Amino acid sequence: MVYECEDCQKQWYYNVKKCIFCQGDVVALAPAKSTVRGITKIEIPSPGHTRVPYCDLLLEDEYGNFEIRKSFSDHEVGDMLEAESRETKKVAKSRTVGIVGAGTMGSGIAQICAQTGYHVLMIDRHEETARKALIKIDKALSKTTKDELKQEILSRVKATTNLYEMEHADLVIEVLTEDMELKKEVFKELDSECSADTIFRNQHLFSLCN
Amino acid sequence: MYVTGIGRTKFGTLTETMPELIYQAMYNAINDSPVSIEDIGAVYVSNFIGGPSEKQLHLNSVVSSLLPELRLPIIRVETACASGSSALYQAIIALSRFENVLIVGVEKMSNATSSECSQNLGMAGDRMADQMQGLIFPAHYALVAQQHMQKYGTTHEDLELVAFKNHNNSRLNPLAHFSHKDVTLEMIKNAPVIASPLNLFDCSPISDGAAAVVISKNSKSDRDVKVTGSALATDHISLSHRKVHTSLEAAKVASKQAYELAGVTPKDLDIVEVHDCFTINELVAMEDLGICKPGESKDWVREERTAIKGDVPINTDGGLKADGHPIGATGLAQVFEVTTQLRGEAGERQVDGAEVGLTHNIGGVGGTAVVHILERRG
Repeated sequence: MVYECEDCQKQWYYNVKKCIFCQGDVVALAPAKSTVRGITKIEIPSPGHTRVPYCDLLLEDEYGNFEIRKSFSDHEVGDMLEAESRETKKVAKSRTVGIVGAGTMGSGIAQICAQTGYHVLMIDRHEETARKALIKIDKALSKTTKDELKQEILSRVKATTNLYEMEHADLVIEVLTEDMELKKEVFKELDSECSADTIFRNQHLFSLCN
Repeated sequence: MYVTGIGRTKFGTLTETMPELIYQAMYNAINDSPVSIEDIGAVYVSNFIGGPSEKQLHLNSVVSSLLPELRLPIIRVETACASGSSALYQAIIALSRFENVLIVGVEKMSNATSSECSQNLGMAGDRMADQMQGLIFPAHYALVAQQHMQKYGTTHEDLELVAFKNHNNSRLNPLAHFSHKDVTLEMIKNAPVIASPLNLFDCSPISDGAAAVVISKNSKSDRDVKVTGSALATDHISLSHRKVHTSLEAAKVASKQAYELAGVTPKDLDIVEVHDCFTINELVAMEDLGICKPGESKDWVREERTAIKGDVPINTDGGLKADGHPIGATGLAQVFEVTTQLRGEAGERQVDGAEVGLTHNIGGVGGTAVVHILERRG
């Protein structure tokens, strides 16, 4: 991902937020397509990349910026590919992440999931907490994202107090306070609301086995 | 300022520990120099992956342990594969304060498996943009090679000629990793592919070793070699963060500055040590250093103009490819070779009448570039 200063157009490959040259706001550029400019096929495994061979592609986007992308598919120089973020979003668009608990951690996870393209259901027992979480995400996005994109991301986040809405979730992430009894109660309810395919994820210290 | 002493160990798969290698190189450099260890004002120690490979950091204190009771200012320098030359660059700046400075570079790589080594070396690339995409180091330079081939018509046969020359040179260097190994063009051509288009013989080996250099503000003997240019430049860490992939901009910037400081041009060079971590980088270096024009390096190699008896001899010690590439020591081993050549002490691989030499040391895929120019004391 490339980030650009809105004022002086200097670019970064890290989410730096503010321009060190002119103090302008730095926003993410979102390319739609990339062209394969170079390919190397790697034949030797390394930790984290044990399945070989695989290709590393040198891609150039419509802004003239480059990225490296690992691929197990065959490509040729000149091939056009969709930007990885869009490919991820394609998959994400059909998936819903449920987040139980709308505190600091819950709203942060919700924001990242929504930015990636997932639909997000954020649930909290307290309506006020759920509402504040939405405001928090709105504020956080305002610092790094153009308004049009921010509205698109926010449109994927729904805050609710109804646990039964979790029936639509493909993945449920639980970020409740460290109260074992409360967790047991919530997971029992989730078990009856969610489909058999739903994946549960506990974000805290207690093991689900408990 | 002058190089007043040089020393190194053999490069290869060695039994010595990292401290033992450091000591051997320092001992040899001091032994070679009129400067005694008591006259050294500061030490710079260069190393890249002592942390992940040997679980040993705080190397400056290790060096202090090797110099009992001196309690010198000692600083570790790390700029990936350019660590050795970066330490020299810093040491030269330190001559404003000290009369003599010792620089020692070391790497102990053979204790790790090749897979671990690959991961450790990968740390010279960007964590997210490169490492997470499986862009191991041969793959970085494979992309450079592929772009160079696409743009200039360079072929793998040209890269084979680079490997062949450097292996032949290493046969004349008893300290080289592959000094014992006869290599044929057939072996090079048929080696297994690592990251296309590069095969095993395009890659420098995993070497242990150390090298050390003593520099002084004032000349100490007629064997001294003058340092007339010293420059370091940096660039984006990932190849993919740059727009040009057939040259390393940092190397162009550093060499331009070094030439200006020394008051010489590429035409004046008699002996050059370049960072051939992968064969393609020898060709790219020739172009970045202005030895030839972009795209012409392949012609130079085909015409053997970089051989020991050629117009501009390159990597007379075998280069990283065949002398070896113990990362932290590499830049200083280049200075060792150029100094040896300028002193006229290179034996069978001596370049006749060598007066001006250059070292070109690269970190990562051009994120750091350091160029030094050395001249025979006039």
